[in-house]
Amino acid sequence: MYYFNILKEQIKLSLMWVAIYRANFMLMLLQSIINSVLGILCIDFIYIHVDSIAGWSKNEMIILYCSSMIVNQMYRGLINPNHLRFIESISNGSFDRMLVKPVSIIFQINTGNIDYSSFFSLIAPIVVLCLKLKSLDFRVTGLNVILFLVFVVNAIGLLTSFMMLLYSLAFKHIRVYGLTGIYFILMSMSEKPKEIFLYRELMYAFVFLIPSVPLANVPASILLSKGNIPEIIASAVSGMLFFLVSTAAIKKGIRKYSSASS
Amino acid sequence: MQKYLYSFRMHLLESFQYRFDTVLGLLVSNISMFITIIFWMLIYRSNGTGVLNGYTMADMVTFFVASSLFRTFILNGGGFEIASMIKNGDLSRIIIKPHSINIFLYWKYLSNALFEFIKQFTFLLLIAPFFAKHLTWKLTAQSIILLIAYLVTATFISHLIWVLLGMTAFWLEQAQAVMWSFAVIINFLSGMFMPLDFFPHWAVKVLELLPFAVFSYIPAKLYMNQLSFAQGVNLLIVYIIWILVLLLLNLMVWRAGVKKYSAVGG
Amino acid sequence: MSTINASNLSKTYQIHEKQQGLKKSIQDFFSRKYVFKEAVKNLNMTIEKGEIVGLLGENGAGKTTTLKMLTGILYPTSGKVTVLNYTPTQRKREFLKKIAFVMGNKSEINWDLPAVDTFRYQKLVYQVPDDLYKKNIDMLAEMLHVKHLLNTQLRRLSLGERMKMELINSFLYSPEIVFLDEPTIGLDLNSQLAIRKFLREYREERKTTIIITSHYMDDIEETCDRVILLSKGSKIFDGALGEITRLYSSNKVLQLVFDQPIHPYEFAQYGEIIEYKENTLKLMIQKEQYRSIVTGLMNQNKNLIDISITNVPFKNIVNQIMAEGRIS
Repeated sequence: MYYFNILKEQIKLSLMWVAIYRANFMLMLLQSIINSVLGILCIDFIYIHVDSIAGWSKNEMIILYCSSMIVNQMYRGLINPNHLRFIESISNGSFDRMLVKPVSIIFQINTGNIDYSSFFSLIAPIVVLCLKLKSLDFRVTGLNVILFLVFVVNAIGLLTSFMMLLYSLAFKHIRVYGLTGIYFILMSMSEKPKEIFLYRELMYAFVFLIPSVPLANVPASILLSKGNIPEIIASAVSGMLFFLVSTAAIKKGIRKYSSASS
Repeated sequence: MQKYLYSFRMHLLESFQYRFDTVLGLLVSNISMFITIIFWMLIYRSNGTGVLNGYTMADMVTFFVASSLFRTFILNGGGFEIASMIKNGDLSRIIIKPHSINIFLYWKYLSNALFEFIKQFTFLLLIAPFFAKHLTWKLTAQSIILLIAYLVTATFISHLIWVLLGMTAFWLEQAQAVMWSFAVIINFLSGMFMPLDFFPHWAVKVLELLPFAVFSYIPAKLYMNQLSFAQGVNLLIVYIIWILVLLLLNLMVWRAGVKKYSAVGG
Repeated sequence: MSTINASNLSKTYQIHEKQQGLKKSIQDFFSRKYVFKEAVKNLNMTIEKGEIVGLLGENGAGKTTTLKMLTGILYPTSGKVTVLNYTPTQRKREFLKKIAFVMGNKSEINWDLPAVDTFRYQKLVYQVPDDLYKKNIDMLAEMLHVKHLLNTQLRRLSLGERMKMELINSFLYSPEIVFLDEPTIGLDLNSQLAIRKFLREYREERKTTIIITSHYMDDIEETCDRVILLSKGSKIFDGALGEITRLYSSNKVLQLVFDQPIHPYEFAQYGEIIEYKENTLKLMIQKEQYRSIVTGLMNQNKNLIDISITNVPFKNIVNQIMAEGRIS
């Protein structure tokens, strides 16, 4: 209840910020939507020359792309601003404030501000996803949709944990700004079909080490009834593992911060 | 010339100091390129005919590799520096001599770009043995001259566009965030993820006329000898007109921005 | 049970000493050289409820490090500390709700929004009941004279006003102990005075324990009951404010004014030169020697046009203690 109230207030405060900086909000929203649309168009144009890519038809590929956009925009909208604020706070010393507040540090790292422009731009991939679902040959069941949503949440959690793990390196005084490049690479991998990894072993590396496959491939596969059970279970396990490892890394990092150098 | 050699040496030392950043930067941009390439390889494997829209797989790989090299000539630093100066109220320098700041930034980021070019070129040389079999080489003496002309044009156009974007800081609160996000759109429209001729016919014509195509798409086509000399020259004229248009826009936006800034009182 | 109790508290930093030059950098990569810096050495300190204590010391004396150990931000290297019967480093929620840490030049409050919005958020974080919240905000805004500014965007406020909002943000949940690290740094005189007055009045109202570190002697002199002096990590004085002045009451300051520029070294024989400008001079002398010095000066110096005698300023006393590294 306590954390829920705080979240409610954060939602309100971020909204107030948007009201003040309307131009920023509108421009960012516009570019997010244009971005999504261009990505979808590119897929459209490629499929003029091919019928299927590694077993993914055009509509399926677009659904994959939209799934990736959804997971990414959710991360960009809800979590990313707070991660960036966190690494900034380590380098400018204002992390001390977080330590003195009676709120869980993990909560403070992942929440605080909401980037509404990223969040509202979700409308584009969601609309396209629904349209493409309608135009598929087979019927999509309610179970597919529910599992899809569950694994989208898993994907967002996984992405959040992975980035938190990377950013925990900030406690070792490593310049972590470069690590946002890894985020972009992860994002561009997640929207490609998993078949780009030629060998199964390689693919599993990208489930457990650099988790790009569970981010969009797995939820989209579930939605399109082309998922396979081992991958799905592996994704869920990966989600849990990364959560545990990343929270442990942050706690360890805090101990190091509090005991160590000037 | 002295100034250039000096600036060059500074960059070299800096790169060495910030080794981690340098290597990380190279890795990140090249891994992105690599992912794009293996995606296209997947597309070709699924297609079977080996030719898509006139491109063989070797053509495609060449396109992206050449692009990665030519993209180093996109000068975006000037825009970000202007935005930063506006945000910090550091404008006294600019207001007194707006023209010279623009030129100063151009040369600064040009030398930066040359350095990035050399880094990327070196990197490609190092990994060349791994993918040489996919690359094609079709340059002629003529096309080299034209290529250089295009790259120079690209530096002017990119600098002007980015400075224009940077000046939105006169009106926008977090101009830098907005600028970065529009960079992705510019990337799309300049053929970073897909050669522009995959767009529908009518769209390609329009895109080729927009200033963005000059960043990497046209030079890559030239490199692959897919544009005739005559075509190349004709298009170049279009882009030179763009330079003039952008110069004019820059001036207009500049005047409006300074007026607003002075009105508020800093 | 004391409010704050520190025994043999020490903090040693392990700093990686970066080597210069290419060859050394490579060596550095393989085996790092560490330098140890003792920031706080065997500090013993007891503070009771309702005291206002000032921590003074030169840069690097260990003031901020001590505050961070008292609030649980840093782990001590050795020794024990309890605050309100809690161990700070355990960072228990009940403990954190009872303390506040105001850091001088870093603002916590949202820049783009009016202060009230941040206060409401703080209310939720510290679970302040509605009526207490309203009462506190009204009282704090009244005491700091910023009632009319509560709804103004923070970026439009002056530095002093922002600091006042910062204080309200920290006091609104009625903390039992408030730690302030350089609270008046960079502020104009009026704001400094207002904040000092506020702290004293607030303590009268609520009996809150207040610990302040500052470079400004006036901050300490006008606010604190008690002073702890730190030098190079060790405590060199701990006692009531009055005690310091009394310790040095055997000294006085002579203020001399001449009708033409003077050479200060001519007067070094009489006492310590504290300050001099073109034709004025401040000398610290022994109280007993006052008569003989004044007579000597008046006889020797036809250019002397005014003499006055005052107590040694607080800051000079402190500087002297610091310079000597101990109480004399």
